[in-house]
Amino acid sequence: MNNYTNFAITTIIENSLYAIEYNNTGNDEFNNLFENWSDVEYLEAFFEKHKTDLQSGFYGDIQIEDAIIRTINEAIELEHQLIEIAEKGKSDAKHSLQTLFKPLYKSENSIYPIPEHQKSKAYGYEFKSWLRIYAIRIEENTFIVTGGAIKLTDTMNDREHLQNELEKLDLVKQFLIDEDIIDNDSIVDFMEI
Amino acid sequence: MANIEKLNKISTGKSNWIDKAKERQENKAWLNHSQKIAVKVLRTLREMKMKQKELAEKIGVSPQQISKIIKGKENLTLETISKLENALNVNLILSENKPAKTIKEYIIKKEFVYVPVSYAVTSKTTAQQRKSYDISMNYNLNIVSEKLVTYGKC
Repeated sequence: MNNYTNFAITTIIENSLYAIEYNNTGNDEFNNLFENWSDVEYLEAFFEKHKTDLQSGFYGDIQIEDAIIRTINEAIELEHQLIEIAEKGKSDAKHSLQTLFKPLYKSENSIYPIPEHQKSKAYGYEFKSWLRIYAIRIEENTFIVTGGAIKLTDTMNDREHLQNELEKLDLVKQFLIDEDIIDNDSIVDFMEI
Repeated sequence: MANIEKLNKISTGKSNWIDKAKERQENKAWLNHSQKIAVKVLRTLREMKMKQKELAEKIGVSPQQISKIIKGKENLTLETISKLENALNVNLILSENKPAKTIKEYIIKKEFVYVPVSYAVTSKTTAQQRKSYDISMNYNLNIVSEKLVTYGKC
């Protein structure tokens, strides 16, 4: 279990997208994710550590060299979409964060129900990417990024680095309650890209 | 309702992400080359069980420089690439053309064409049938050579 003792919030897109910076590192989680996903040394070490998952067949049998390049290309593509959203603003429905984020859990009790056309994307894996960005949605189009991961397995429960992300979501939710940004009764959604 | 005003108030400022993201997009083309080289260098180091420090000494650069290279974020010079190639005994800027693959494809296609012809011709085959098979075979061979030329141009 990691020790997250200090939380700060940085702004990515005002009124729309924020990220948590843990333990005064000087870098928020959103920035960290894209730094790591463009860092060959980081990715090589990650895939070497998770070689069994990588080659177990969930995404097919993939060589480490190919996995690194695939991750970098997917991150560039995702980053491109996020830049467009950041620059066009949330007024444009086609370029809002809601088109990217999907609920982590299927829930009836949601701030903003996911439109039918998005459900297929959310659960049908039209785009089979292993990159995940985790966030808490506190309003219809306002998200706070808590972390992210490369998810090579079907579920989050049996891998330490993914369990760690679930823990961060809970901790940040409590932080937001402590800071009076949301209250205990607020409905918030745990989301993922 | 969430208190967005409070959220903006406690925010410590703008994330560095947007500037770095734009930089990555602008430099995408050369970063792509740098990343592919970094992958090859890292995998070779692992295979050879060679430390980064050792590589730095071999090519006469600082360990910090090697660190940048293996992250795939360095705009490498041809001189540095050549030094890395010599130190690791690998080719880091492979040509996209692979003649060996072209030859292999040709053999596969050639076999594919010959099979139906060889089993069809028997001692009972008439002269007319043989002529027909020969035309068919020649026709197929023409297709093979055409495909081979196209493939070679790709």
